[in-house]
Amino acid sequence: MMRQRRGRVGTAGQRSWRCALLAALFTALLGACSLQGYHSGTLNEQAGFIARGVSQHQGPVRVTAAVPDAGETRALTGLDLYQQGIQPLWLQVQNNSEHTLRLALASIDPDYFSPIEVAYMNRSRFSAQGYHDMEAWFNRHGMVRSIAPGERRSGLVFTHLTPGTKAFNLDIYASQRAWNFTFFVPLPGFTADYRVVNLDVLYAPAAMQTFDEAGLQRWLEQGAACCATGPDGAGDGGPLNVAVVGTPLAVRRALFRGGWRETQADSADTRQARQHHFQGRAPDTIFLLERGDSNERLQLHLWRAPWNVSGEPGWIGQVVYRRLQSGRVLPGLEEWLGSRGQLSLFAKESVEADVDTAHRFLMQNLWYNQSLKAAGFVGGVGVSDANAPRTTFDGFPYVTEGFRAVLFLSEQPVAMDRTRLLYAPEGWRPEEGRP
Amino acid sequence: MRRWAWLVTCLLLGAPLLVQAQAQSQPNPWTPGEAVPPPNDRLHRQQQGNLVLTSAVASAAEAEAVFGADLYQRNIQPVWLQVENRGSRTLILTPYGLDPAYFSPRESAQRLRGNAAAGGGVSSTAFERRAINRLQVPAGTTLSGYVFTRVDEGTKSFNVDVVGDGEPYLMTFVVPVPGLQLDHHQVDLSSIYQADDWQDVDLPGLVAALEQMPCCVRDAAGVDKGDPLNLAFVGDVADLYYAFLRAGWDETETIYAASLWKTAKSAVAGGRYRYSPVSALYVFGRPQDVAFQRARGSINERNHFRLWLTPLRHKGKPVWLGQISRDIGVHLTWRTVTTHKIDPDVDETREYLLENLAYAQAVSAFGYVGGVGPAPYNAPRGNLTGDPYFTDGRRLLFWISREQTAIDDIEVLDLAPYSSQVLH
Repeated sequence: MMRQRRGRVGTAGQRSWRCALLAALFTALLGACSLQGYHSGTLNEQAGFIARGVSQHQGPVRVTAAVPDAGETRALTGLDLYQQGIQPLWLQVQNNSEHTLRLALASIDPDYFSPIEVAYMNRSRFSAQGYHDMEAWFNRHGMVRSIAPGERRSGLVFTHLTPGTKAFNLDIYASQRAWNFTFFVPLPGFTADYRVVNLDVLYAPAAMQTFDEAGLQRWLEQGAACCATGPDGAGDGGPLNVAVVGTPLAVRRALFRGGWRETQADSADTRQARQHHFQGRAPDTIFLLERGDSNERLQLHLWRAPWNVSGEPGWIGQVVYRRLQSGRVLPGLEEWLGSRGQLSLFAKESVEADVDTAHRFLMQNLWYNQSLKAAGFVGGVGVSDANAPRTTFDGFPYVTEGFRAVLFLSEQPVAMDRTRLLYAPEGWRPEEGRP
Repeated sequence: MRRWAWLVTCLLLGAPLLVQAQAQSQPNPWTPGEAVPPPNDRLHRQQQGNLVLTSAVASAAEAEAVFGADLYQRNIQPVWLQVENRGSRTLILTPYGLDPAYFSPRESAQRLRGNAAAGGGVSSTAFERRAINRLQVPAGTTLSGYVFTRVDEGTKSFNVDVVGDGEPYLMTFVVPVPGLQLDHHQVDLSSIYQADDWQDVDLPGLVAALEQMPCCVRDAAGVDKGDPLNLAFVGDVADLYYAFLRAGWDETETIYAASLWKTAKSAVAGGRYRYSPVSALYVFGRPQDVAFQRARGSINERNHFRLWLTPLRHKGKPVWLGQISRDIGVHLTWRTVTTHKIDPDVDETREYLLENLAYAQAVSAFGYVGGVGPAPYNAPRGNLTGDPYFTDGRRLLFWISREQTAIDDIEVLDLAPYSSQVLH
């Protein structure tokens, strides 16, 4: 009896399954009828985005780079590539040398997309002819890798999308020689925070000091405040655990090489960070380093400092970890931390509280990306112990052994073994709590 | 890179120096300043001047025994290091060299307990006590503890960089980790050819011999022509192995039911499974001697290549023939249920490998020879799964070197004078 009942139920189930299958087939058929042909825009040197291009030359090699924004990319390729995390980059290379030049596309983005790969990812919307046309368009417009003497070639490279200014390196090489370029191509609609700050008028000329390395150490250990403040100029804004020496270009190059990204002054993403003040103002620039495989990011808040070292501008800053949830800094954390009993636990356990690990990571990140002329650690922050942690105005307890990382940056790559160690690393003893 | 000529690179692949650790029957309290014991007795030790470095990679089970949580499941592989500074100056150890995305001890703990700031049995304090928390190793001291890296199954390849006394050290460790069976471990490369099979060739002879080799891979029946053999390498097996690992390639796993299941799951869910197996393709009547793959975003975005040892030797180094493809998607076939759609622009993929190995500083020279035969975009050839491909017909010949070569030192060789074919 039971078996029969099951049998009947099974049959009815099969019938409805068949109906569903037929319906699905019908829908698929309808869908097939609506498949499209492929329509691209035209790519020529009159294109609007190419007018915004940036050119550089080194010896006999001239390179122009331009980046279409999301809308321009849609008009050009017929596809919403930005939405897929893909950003085309247009390159034009003029070879006035006597060698055949080779472009290392991997220097721009080691995981770039090949042209036909981008077409294939978007195949589902198109009819067979439509896909054929699209593949041919992408194949035709991909940038070549080899450029004969006297030739000028241009084409597209499909990179991973980065918000804001497109910053990238490009290595061009021939037998036993190479030309290394670094480009910053601005995108319309994005203004990095440092572009709205006039660094020249922040301090009166009389207020600017000039240091040598020893003078810098004295200022950092005795002259400078331990910490940033809250937005009202009072309270603990967290330790100033980084000092940087380098031109604005060196700072940007170094951070871009290390994978950091710039931010906009009005971004919701950095609203909380902008509450942290030094000498009465929000950070002059904030850079973020997202971790691909984790739920944290590193935040670097930098302020132009009232001093130069050997003619190079100085910067004071803080680097911290912040945890993320769905791409945003964890909401509600400050409220949760409001209860005093949680503070010590948070100081002992949380990633955010560990500010020393953050500046050690930053130092290595810049070192390995060949941006570091010299580096060392000095005091000046003072100890904050996990059992009685200092707490920022916005409720983050932190622990630190009290040191600042001092980083001298270079505009040109510095081999790792050429980095000078400052401030007697022999003296960095564990018992003294050196980092 | 010439700048790094002073660096010590010591590959432990052939003969790892195993040091028996002292048995640790009682758990150590790991109070700060005390030595942290290794997770196993598979220790690898290297000495350079006044620096003695010992490392051990914890397997999944060993990591769980040490930390009381499944670290591998959260993509954390703890590497134990002991740095002994016998010199008179402070040395700086940079964990970044092991893995530029290494996890801090607190990040590791947090990954294991989810997003809650507290709760779960995992404590940051316990991770910090076992971790290397400093960059500096003062003169005459020993520092030991864990660095939390991302998981490499099969073989863990990592660098340990130490600087600070005017002469930096860079040591490379290649350490097998239990848990994954790999192609090359099953193939005895020394028994493929008899002593009198080997042919020593000069450069013109090498070009001529490579141009006579098969254009393409075949299937098991030896009938169909497949993807083009567009790579050739000159180099010892250890040099090749070192170069590919440094460039981020992973070995492949032998095909087992479990890994097929993992591949299918990964293809459907878009998850990351870096070690999914590749199918066997045939040259010289045998399947590939070794295969590597390099994961990108997901399984649908991977590159893989296969290598076969040839009976050629050039200046004492063996010569290899290879095939590379870029997966750009998965599609269904009747033969293998699912297969990877490869990028029909196989030359693009070939050049990708050149750059990839060049940035690993492993290529001392390269040039092009014929042998594949051109197939233009408008008249493509088909591979074994019916996918079309087009090519200029050239084979890229690499000289792989252990000595690091910067991109501005790579020699680009014009091999056209030795070629019997018209190369474009």
